[in-house]
Amino acid sequence: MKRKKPKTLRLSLREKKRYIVIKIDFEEIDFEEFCSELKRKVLELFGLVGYAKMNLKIIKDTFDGKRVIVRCSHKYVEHLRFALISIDKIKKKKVSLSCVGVSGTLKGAKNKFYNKI
Amino acid sequence: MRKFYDLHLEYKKEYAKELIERALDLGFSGICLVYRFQNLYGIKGYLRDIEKLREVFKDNIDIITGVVIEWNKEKSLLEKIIKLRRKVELIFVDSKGDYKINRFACSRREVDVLCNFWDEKGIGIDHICIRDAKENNVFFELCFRRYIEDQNILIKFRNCALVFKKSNAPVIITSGARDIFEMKKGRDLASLLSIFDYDLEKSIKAISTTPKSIIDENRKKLKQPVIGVEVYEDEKEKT
Repeated sequence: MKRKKPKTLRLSLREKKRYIVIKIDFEEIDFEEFCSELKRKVLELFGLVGYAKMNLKIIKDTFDGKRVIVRCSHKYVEHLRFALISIDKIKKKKVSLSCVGVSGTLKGAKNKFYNKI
Repeated sequence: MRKFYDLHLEYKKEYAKELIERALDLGFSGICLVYRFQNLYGIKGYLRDIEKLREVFKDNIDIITGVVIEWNKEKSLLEKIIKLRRKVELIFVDSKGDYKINRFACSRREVDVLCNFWDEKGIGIDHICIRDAKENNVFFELCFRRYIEDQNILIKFRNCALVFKKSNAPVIITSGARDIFEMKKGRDLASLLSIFDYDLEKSIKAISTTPKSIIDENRKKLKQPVIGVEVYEDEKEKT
């Protein structure tokens, strides 16, 4: 019997997302280190409920040690910005994270900001 | 495009150039290298250094002079403020949470920014301070470095945001950075207020147009030979 694909949600029912392009200054870091630190910071600042509402996802393909794209809910962009600037050290390496730009689509984020860093 | 101004970067002669270069990278249009007041001889040296830096970075960034005056019992605060008013563009008063100093600073038009105003119990200001601050153009500073030093300060920032939102108080956001690692982008710093349901547009203004207006106003005042007297140079300006 052929397995049916699960139907995707209608556009109006899907949650609105934002793709944030992040620049990492001063040191190159690993993907795992970055993920764990960002998650820790968000949990510390906004708690588990805030973390769940934020719907955070780090897009692995875009990570190259100096820049990365992170997806989150459109209502929590400011919260993520604050979490990012609160990070000053990752595994004893002094870093400074800054948000380069915000876009509604991954393609837009790549074309407008990611490729221009 | 928005122009961002960071009005509080701690001045140290060795790091000053690095700070300015980093500010250029982060897209700031102007920065204030703030000197912690010790004595008048120190001020002279500071102003000389700033002049040199202004010549180097003439076209790229606006470098603003500012002094933080800390309250101590030895010398009266007013005496210091009057001495420094015509020498620097911005005067900060660090009250260390003393309500009397907060009240005094808010009631003086010579003071531009009140920083570190919260005390152990609360935010250290009340509606009278805010009313006086509005009248005398004194701005309350929310400094990001305070949060990095002590994370519990976030509760006070939240209370401040609530009060500022209700009373429409004059507020600015600064980084308070001592080195290049502590410097943050202007738009990112605006999130310090906006995460507490403070209006996003107003919190962006607290680091862009509001600081610009303070500087413009003070530069205009410094050009006046006597307070209230303006000198016109062009014929067109007369009309």
